[in-house]
Amino acid sequence: MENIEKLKEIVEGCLQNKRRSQEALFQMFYGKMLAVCMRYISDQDTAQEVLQEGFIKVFDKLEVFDFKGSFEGWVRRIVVNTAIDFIRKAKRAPILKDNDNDFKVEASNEIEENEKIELIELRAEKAVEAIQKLSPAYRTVFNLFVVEDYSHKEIAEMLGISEGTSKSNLSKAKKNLKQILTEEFSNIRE
Amino acid sequence: MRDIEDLFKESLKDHQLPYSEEAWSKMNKKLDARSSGASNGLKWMLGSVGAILIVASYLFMGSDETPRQIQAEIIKAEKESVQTTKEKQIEAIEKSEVEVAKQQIEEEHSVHRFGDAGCCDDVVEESIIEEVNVKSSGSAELQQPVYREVAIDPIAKDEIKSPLYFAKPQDHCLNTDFSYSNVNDESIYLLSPLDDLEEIAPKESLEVILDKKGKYQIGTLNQDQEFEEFVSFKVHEPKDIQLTANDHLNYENGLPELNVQAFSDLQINWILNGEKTTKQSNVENFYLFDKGSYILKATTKDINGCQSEDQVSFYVEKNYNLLAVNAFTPNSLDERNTSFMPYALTKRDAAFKMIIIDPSNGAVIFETMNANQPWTGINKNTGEVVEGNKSYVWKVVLQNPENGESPEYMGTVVRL
Repeated sequence: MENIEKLKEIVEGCLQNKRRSQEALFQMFYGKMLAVCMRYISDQDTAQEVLQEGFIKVFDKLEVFDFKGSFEGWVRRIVVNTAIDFIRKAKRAPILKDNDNDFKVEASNEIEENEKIELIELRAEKAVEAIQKLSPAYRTVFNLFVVEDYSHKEIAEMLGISEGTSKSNLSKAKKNLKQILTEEFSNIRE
Repeated sequence: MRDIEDLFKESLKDHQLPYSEEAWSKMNKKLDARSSGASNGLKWMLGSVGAILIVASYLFMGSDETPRQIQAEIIKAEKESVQTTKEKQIEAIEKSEVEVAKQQIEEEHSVHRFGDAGCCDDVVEESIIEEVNVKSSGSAELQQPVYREVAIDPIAKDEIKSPLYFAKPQDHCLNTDFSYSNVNDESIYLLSPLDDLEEIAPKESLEVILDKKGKYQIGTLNQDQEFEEFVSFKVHEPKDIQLTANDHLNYENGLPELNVQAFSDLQINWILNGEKTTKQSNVENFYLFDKGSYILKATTKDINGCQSEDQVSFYVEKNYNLLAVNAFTPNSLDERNTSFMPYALTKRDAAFKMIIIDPSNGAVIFETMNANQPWTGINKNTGEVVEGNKSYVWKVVLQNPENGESPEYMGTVVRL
């Protein structure tokens, strides 16, 4: 639930291009949206830049927001899309299709085994740190599916990959995360 | 062992990083760069008017102060004039204003160039108003304008510590929905009987199911992050009720009775297939006349107004038809088979009229209103026993049928 009245006031100001309203909106969502960007882009400066791009899109598109859905959700979708666009453009590696093996869906029992871990709680900072260690392809699918609640079908459309790849990447992402966390955990115990 | 997805989902839900003024400063610059690139007619006009006003006022004042000095004075006066708890907030706004002002001054020697800086229109206009104030009525009035605006700024609202307002909730029953609105400008909290703390953000509402019995408290957290109660309410557990029903219908009284019993020391309301009945005793009989499923529910309300309920379901396999047999034989050695009278009518104390019809000609060949005068197979019109191995139609009309009972019954009976 968002404070609709206050938000409407701010959005109204933004529509009139008032800098103070833009600042208010920026301040309101900065923390959450930077956290979103940091899950996709590990370098903080780059993440900040992507976030700024995202906010510019938000300001530009404000006219079309009708306050029927969650405003935060709307902002979030724009920021996520901006981050994905950035990764796509970066093309440092064949990012969203890691290698041929990714297309092979692993045996289901193996996947199930991957999905459990001996941890009962995970600090957000640790979670982000672990996600940042994943390859961009795995990281992106994991974020979209687990954190942003997109379906494999939607992810496939967004990233221009097959649903099978999305599923496979998710499964591998989880496997890798388990390994990362397990190592981290054993280091702490030592 | 935990599911990785759940673990991350939970961990990253609502995760946010701290805000930094620097981030906005960068964003601000980016927006500046963008809007200075894009000029439109309106912006140009506003900007030009602003610039002309500044230049005009500067000339009017006839002072040798530079605009930069004037601007600096205004900001200084603002800083001195008001003391609030929101200094940090205000300073941030001032800081951005200083930046804007600097930019504005740098550009103002050229009207056209100034007009291009369309991004800062509203800020420019404010500055002009301020300057006019300075000149026309002196510094006394200077204390008002900027801060009044800051005070109504949407961000600044959050920072004002105002008295807290709490509505007192009524007591509730266990597992009911509860909704509470926080009308204040700071977070308040709901503390459950098991010490679970739920935050209600400013101007937002919380909707929960009250699943713990006992005292719920609503309040704030003090400086030491300890909970301080403002209002409270109780959640009551309703008194339990249990129902049992027979697994068969009882026809002892000639009626299709289902016997049910409710265990509760409160007054009971009985509901049959969603319809409230007038029955209120712990032990009740329900007549289930028609074939089909029945759901019997009993509800109670305790002194706290908390409802409790239980229900049983029952399936009736065939329609009730006065428990009539379908054949009789006047010559039988067994006396029970020598005449025809629906069994129910011999048990029920009900006024009725029964007629027997010969289906071959539609003639009424027997009629009675007395359960002790069954049809013995004699046609009243001829005085003789009717033809054997043939079906005859019987029809019964009840004068005062039971609640929910059809007043008419029909069937066939074979005279063997």
